[in-house]
Amino acid sequence: MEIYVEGGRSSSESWTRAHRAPLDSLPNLSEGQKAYVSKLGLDGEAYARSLLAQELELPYLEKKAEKAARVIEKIGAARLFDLRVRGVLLNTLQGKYRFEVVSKEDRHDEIVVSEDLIDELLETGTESSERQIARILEFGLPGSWTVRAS
Amino acid sequence: MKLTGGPATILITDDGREVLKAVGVALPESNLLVVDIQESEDLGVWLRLQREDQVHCFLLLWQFVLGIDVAIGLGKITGLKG
Repeated sequence: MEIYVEGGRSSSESWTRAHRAPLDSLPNLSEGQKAYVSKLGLDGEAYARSLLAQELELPYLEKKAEKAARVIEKIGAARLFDLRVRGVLLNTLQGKYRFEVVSKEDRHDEIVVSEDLIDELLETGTESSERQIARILEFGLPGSWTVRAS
Repeated sequence: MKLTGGPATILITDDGREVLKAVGVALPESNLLVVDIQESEDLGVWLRLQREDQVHCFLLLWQFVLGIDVAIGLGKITGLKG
Protein backbone atom coordinates (compact mmCIF):
# COMPACT_ATOMS: atom_id res chain seq x y z
CA MET A 1 0.00 0.00 0.00
CA GLU A 2 1.24 3.47 -0.86
CA ILE A 3 0.93 5.95 1.97
CA TYR A 4 1.19 9.67 1.37
CA VAL A 5 0.93 12.53 3.83
CA GLU A 6 0.40 15.99 2.40
CA GLY A 7 0.96 19.02 4.60
CA GLY A 8 2.71 19.15 7.93
CA ARG A 9 1.46 18.51 11.40
CA SER A 10 2.98 18.06 14.83
CA SER A 11 1.57 16.90 18.13
CA SER A 12 2.43 18.52 21.45
CA GLU A 13 4.79 15.60 22.08
CA SER A 14 6.71 15.87 18.82
CA TRP A 15 6.81 19.66 19.10
CA THR A 16 8.21 19.43 22.64
CA ARG A 17 10.84 16.90 21.53
CA ALA A 18 11.82 19.14 18.64
CA HIS A 19 12.14 22.17 20.90
CA ARG A 20 14.37 20.26 23.31
CA ALA A 21 16.54 18.74 20.60
CA PRO A 22 20.20 19.82 20.53
CA LEU A 23 21.16 22.26 17.80
CA ASP A 24 23.27 19.72 15.94
CA SER A 25 20.29 17.39 15.52
CA LEU A 26 18.17 19.94 13.68
CA PRO A 27 17.58 19.31 9.96
CA ASN A 28 19.73 21.22 7.51
CA LEU A 29 17.64 23.67 5.56
CA SER A 30 17.48 23.24 1.80
CA GLU A 31 18.45 26.15 -0.43
CA GLY A 32 14.77 26.90 -0.95
CA GLN A 33 14.07 26.85 2.77
CA LYS A 34 17.05 29.10 3.47
CA ALA A 35 15.78 31.53 0.85
CA TYR A 36 12.29 31.48 2.41
CA VAL A 37 13.67 32.11 5.91
CA SER A 38 15.92 34.88 4.64
CA LYS A 39 13.24 36.55 2.52
CA LEU A 40 10.75 36.70 5.39
CA GLY A 41 13.35 37.50 8.04
CA LEU A 42 12.37 34.45 10.10
CA ASP A 43 14.24 32.84 12.94
CA GLY A 44 16.11 30.02 11.18
CA GLU A 45 16.42 27.89 14.30
CA ALA A 46 12.70 28.13 15.07
CA TYR A 47 11.95 27.16 11.47
CA ALA A 48 14.30 24.17 11.64
CA ARG A 49 12.69 23.04 14.90
CA SER A 50 9.23 23.24 13.30
CA LEU A 51 10.51 21.04 10.46
CA LEU A 52 11.93 18.56 12.96
CA ALA A 53 8.60 18.46 14.80
CA GLN A 54 6.89 17.50 11.54
CA GLU A 55 9.48 14.85 10.77
CA LEU A 56 9.00 13.35 14.22
CA GLU A 57 5.25 13.26 13.69
CA LEU A 58 5.35 11.70 10.24
CA PRO A 59 5.56 8.02 11.34
CA TYR A 60 2.48 8.52 13.49
CA LEU A 61 0.58 10.06 10.59
CA GLU A 62 1.65 7.24 8.27
CA LYS A 63 0.43 4.67 10.78
CA LYS A 64 -2.81 6.59 11.18
CA ALA A 65 -3.39 6.64 7.42
CA GLU A 66 -2.65 2.93 7.15
CA LYS A 67 -5.12 2.20 9.93
CA ALA A 68 -7.73 4.33 8.15
CA ALA A 69 -7.20 2.25 5.02
CA ARG A 70 -7.85 -0.92 7.00
CA VAL A 71 -11.08 0.63 8.27
CA ILE A 72 -12.22 1.23 4.68
CA GLU A 73 -11.34 -2.33 3.67
CA LYS A 74 -13.10 -3.75 6.72
CA ILE A 75 -16.30 -1.75 6.26
CA GLY A 76 -16.16 -2.42 2.52
CA ALA A 77 -15.96 -6.17 3.11
CA ALA A 78 -18.79 -6.06 5.66
CA ARG A 79 -20.96 -4.31 3.03
CA LEU A 80 -19.97 -6.88 0.40
CA PHE A 81 -17.81 -4.52 -1.62
CA ASP A 82 -15.06 -6.16 -3.57
CA LEU A 83 -12.33 -3.65 -2.82
CA ARG A 84 -8.78 -3.28 -1.64
CA VAL A 85 -7.08 0.00 -0.76
CA ARG A 86 -4.08 0.43 -3.01
CA GLY A 87 -3.05 3.81 -1.69
CA VAL A 88 -4.06 6.41 0.84
CA LEU A 89 -3.29 10.11 1.02
CA LEU A 90 -3.85 12.03 4.24
CA ASN A 91 -4.15 15.75 3.58
CA THR A 92 -3.58 17.29 7.00
CA LEU A 93 -4.75 20.77 6.05
CA GLN A 94 -8.00 19.62 4.48
CA GLY A 95 -8.50 16.99 7.18
CA LYS A 96 -9.35 14.38 4.54
CA TYR A 97 -8.25 10.95 3.43
CA ARG A 98 -8.21 10.12 -0.27
CA PHE A 99 -8.24 6.36 -0.83
CA GLU A 100 -7.35 4.76 -4.13
CA VAL A 101 -9.34 1.56 -4.22
CA VAL A 102 -9.09 -1.35 -6.63
CA SER A 103 -11.35 -4.32 -7.23
CA LYS A 104 -10.37 -7.90 -8.02
CA GLU A 105 -11.15 -7.10 -11.67
CA ASP A 106 -8.54 -4.31 -11.43
CA ARG A 107 -11.05 -1.49 -11.60
CA HIS A 108 -9.85 1.71 -9.94
CA ASP A 109 -11.76 4.41 -8.12
CA GLU A 110 -11.32 7.04 -5.42
CA ILE A 111 -13.06 7.51 -2.13
CA VAL A 112 -12.71 10.64 0.01
CA VAL A 113 -13.51 10.45 3.72
CA SER A 114 -13.12 13.09 6.41
CA GLU A 115 -10.33 12.45 8.87
CA ASP A 116 -12.65 13.40 11.75
CA LEU A 117 -15.15 10.72 10.77
CA ILE A 118 -12.59 7.91 10.89
CA ASP A 119 -11.11 9.36 14.08
CA GLU A 120 -14.57 9.27 15.61
CA LEU A 121 -15.01 5.62 14.71
CA LEU A 122 -11.60 4.63 16.02
CA GLU A 123 -11.79 6.75 19.16
CA THR A 124 -15.41 6.24 20.17
CA GLY A 125 -16.55 3.21 18.17
CA THR A 126 -19.90 4.80 17.37
CA GLU A 127 -22.14 2.87 15.01
CA SER A 128 -23.27 6.11 13.38
CA SER A 129 -19.75 6.87 12.15
CA GLU A 130 -19.45 3.33 10.76
CA ARG A 131 -22.78 3.73 8.97
CA GLN A 132 -21.69 7.08 7.55
CA ILE A 133 -18.49 5.58 6.15
CA ALA A 134 -20.49 2.70 4.69
CA ARG A 135 -22.81 5.21 2.98
CA ILE A 136 -19.81 7.01 1.52
CA LEU A 137 -18.73 3.69 -0.03
CA GLU A 138 -22.24 2.92 -1.25
CA PHE A 139 -22.67 6.32 -2.90
CA GLY A 140 -19.07 6.72 -4.00
CA LEU A 141 -18.62 3.40 -5.78
CA PRO A 142 -20.60 1.95 -8.68
CA GLY A 143 -23.06 -0.76 -7.74
CA SER A 144 -21.10 -3.18 -9.89
CA TRP A 145 -18.44 -3.24 -7.19
CA THR A 146 -20.80 -5.11 -4.90
CA VAL A 147 -20.17 -8.82 -4.64
CA ARG A 148 -23.29 -10.69 -5.65
CA ALA A 149 -24.43 -13.58 -3.47
CA SER A 150 -24.44 -16.79 -5.47
CA MET B 1 -8.41 24.78 5.85
CA LYS B 2 -7.86 22.79 9.02
CA LEU B 3 -5.23 24.43 11.23
CA THR B 4 -4.46 21.81 13.83
CA GLY B 5 -1.09 20.95 15.23
CA GLY B 6 0.89 22.53 12.48
CA PRO B 7 3.86 24.79 12.06
CA ALA B 8 3.18 28.07 10.32
CA THR B 9 4.52 31.53 9.76
CA ILE B 10 2.23 34.15 11.16
CA LEU B 11 2.07 37.88 10.48
CA ILE B 12 0.82 39.80 13.48
CA THR B 13 -0.22 43.40 14.01
CA ASP B 14 1.82 45.80 16.12
CA ASP B 15 -0.74 45.31 18.88
CA GLY B 16 -0.34 41.56 18.48
CA ARG B 17 3.37 42.03 18.97
CA GLU B 18 2.69 43.83 22.24
CA VAL B 19 0.35 41.04 23.31
CA LEU B 20 2.94 38.34 22.67
CA LYS B 21 5.68 40.41 24.28
CA ALA B 22 3.50 40.84 27.35
CA VAL B 23 3.21 37.09 27.76
CA GLY B 24 6.94 36.57 27.40
CA VAL B 25 7.24 35.32 23.82
CA ALA B 26 10.67 35.95 22.28
CA LEU B 27 10.04 37.93 19.10
CA PRO B 28 12.16 38.56 16.03
CA GLU B 29 12.63 42.10 14.74
CA SER B 30 9.79 41.80 12.24
CA ASN B 31 6.16 40.94 12.90
CA LEU B 32 6.56 37.65 11.07
CA LEU B 33 7.26 34.71 13.31
CA VAL B 34 7.41 30.94 13.14
CA VAL B 35 4.76 29.45 15.40
CA ASP B 36 3.19 26.12 16.08
CA ILE B 37 -0.58 26.08 15.99
CA GLN B 38 -2.38 23.76 18.36
CA GLU B 39 -5.69 24.58 16.71
CA SER B 40 -7.77 27.46 15.47
CA GLU B 41 -11.26 28.45 16.48
CA ASP B 42 -13.75 31.30 16.12
CA LEU B 43 -11.95 33.49 18.64
CA GLY B 44 -8.43 33.09 17.34
CA VAL B 45 -5.53 30.74 17.06
CA TRP B 46 -4.07 28.66 19.88
CA LEU B 47 -0.27 28.81 19.80
CA ARG B 48 2.02 26.35 21.54
CA LEU B 49 4.58 28.04 23.75
CA GLN B 50 7.54 26.35 25.36
CA ARG B 51 7.59 27.80 28.88
CA GLU B 52 10.15 27.17 31.58
CA ASP B 53 7.90 24.64 33.32
CA GLN B 54 6.13 22.93 30.42
CA VAL B 55 4.37 23.47 27.11
CA HIS B 56 1.55 25.99 27.23
CA CYS B 57 -1.12 27.06 24.75
CA PHE B 58 -1.87 30.72 24.24
CA LEU B 59 -4.95 32.05 22.46
CA LEU B 60 -3.99 34.87 20.09
CA LEU B 61 -7.18 36.61 19.02
CA TRP B 62 -7.85 36.96 15.29
CA GLN B 63 -7.82 40.76 15.61
CA PHE B 64 -4.04 40.51 16.10
CA VAL B 65 -3.45 38.28 13.07
CA LEU B 66 -2.92 39.74 9.61
CA GLY B 67 -1.99 36.56 7.79
CA ILE B 68 -0.85 32.95 8.11
CA ASP B 69 1.57 31.17 5.77
CA VAL B 70 1.39 27.37 5.78
CA ALA B 71 3.45 24.94 3.70
CA ILE B 72 1.19 22.41 2.01
CA GLY B 73 3.52 20.03 0.24
CA LEU B 74 5.79 18.54 2.87
CA GLY B 75 4.55 15.00 2.57
CA LYS B 76 6.14 12.11 0.75
CA ILE B 77 5.29 8.60 -0.29
CA THR B 78 6.30 6.66 2.74
CA GLY B 79 5.91 3.03 1.97
CA LEU B 80 5.21 0.39 -0.61
CA LYS B 81 3.77 -2.71 0.92
CA GLY B 82 2.10 -5.77 -0.47
